[in-house]
Amino acid sequence: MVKPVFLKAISGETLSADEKIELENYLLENPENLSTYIALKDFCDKDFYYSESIDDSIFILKDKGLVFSSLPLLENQVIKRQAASPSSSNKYVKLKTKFKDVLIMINIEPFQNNLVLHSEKENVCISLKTSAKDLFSFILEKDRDFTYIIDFENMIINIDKSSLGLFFQ
Amino acid sequence: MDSRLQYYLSNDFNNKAIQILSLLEITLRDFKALDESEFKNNQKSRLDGQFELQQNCDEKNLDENLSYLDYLEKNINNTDLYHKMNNLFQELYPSINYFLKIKKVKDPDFASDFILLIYKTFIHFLLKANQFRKGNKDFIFYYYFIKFLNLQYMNFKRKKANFKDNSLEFDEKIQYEFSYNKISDNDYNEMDVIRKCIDNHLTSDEKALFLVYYFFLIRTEDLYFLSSYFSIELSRIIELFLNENKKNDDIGEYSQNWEKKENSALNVSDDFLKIEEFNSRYSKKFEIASEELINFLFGQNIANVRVSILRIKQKMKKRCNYLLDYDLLY
Repeated sequence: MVKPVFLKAISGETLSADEKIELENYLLENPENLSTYIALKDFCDKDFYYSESIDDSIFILKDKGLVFSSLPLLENQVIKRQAASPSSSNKYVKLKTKFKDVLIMINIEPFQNNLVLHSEKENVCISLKTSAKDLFSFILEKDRDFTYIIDFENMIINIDKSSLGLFFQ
Repeated sequence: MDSRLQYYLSNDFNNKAIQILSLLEITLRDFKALDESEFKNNQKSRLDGQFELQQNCDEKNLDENLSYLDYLEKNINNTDLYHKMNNLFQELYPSINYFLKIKKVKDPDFASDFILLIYKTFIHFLLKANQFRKGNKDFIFYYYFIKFLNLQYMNFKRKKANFKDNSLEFDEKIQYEFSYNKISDNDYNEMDVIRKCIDNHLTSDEKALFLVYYFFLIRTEDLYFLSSYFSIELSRIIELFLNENKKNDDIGEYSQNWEKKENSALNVSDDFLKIEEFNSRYSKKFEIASEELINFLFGQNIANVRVSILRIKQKMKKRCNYLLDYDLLY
């Protein structure tokens, strides 16, 4: 299986003389791992300074009641209830996560989707936008909640030049 | 590197992936052995016997696998596999996000559609990954997953462009493809003949010169040869060529070049990537190693190396007249 020095080399860390020898021996003894080493090293060597792209994301499959997130979720509840009508969704989703200094709570109910942003820091700029145009920009003041009703499919929240994509399907 | 990505390279994650692949294998076997009559009565009329060929995963198409996923979801009381698959997808989600970041995807609708596609085709990928695992004690799940993402991304981008303003039409028409199936055996043979000629008819000096000059020809095993020929550590040789690729990538548009880099000369040998390797080799046919690399390795300028390469080509033409048809030798 994978050796620590293998991982260290892939991640671009500087190797000591002994570690270089260890890596060399490992690659010589395990030629079947060489292509993996190259592919992963190449992949991990990329520069990630494109702050404009989506830094993190949460993907919610409403009907299946599934949530995938690149952020740790503080709360993740998917409750199935009796549907009010045959056409309405019977999934209730409640999420809580922290992105930068902002606590984000998403509450999805059959007829209403709510997004609550709560800043723990003064003067955080919250910019909600779709792919088409900026919808809203707001400066949060200390201890103030900002509630937004989600009435469209996908959105990006920008906080301190970082972006969180929220995807709903 | 992001610590979350390091996790994917750990034994812990690898073992977890292998566990789910084993579970998938067992479930497939059980699924095949399901009470035929019950299955026929309840499902077969609707699904029309789609699962008869479960043992041959390579032959299956996306619809069958998605139907299988639906079947698991709806009909199997013990949903252990289904939950484990979702958990695995959940664990891999940060890497999907990371991938989108590399691709500089800014459009949330595009990202959302792509994530959904990956989710929908995940079972297909698992079946494929299960095939790769056989006989490979160092199977690294994450590596295959990245390749899967990239392959899907290329298909997705192309199809999305074709159906830009009609998402409904796009959804209906989107089909999962393993496009390497389209490459005929003959295409590979051409490359193999050139390789054979290099291996059989060139001296070590000439081989090293030729391989480095046409660095896109380098295969994994060549790296061992070059490492020993130049007395340079293997890891250093790899770095040199990765840097060469990086230089090329800096010139053009980032995302396009990333794909090129992924398919670079330092290729991997598994079937999963054959189309990418093939396209890369041929699209980069006339690209050569840079002056710096040549200087570093041979201590001479590129003009001298070109003269030497010309001689080698003439020698190859004489000895391997079957190569005359290939542009590479002109």
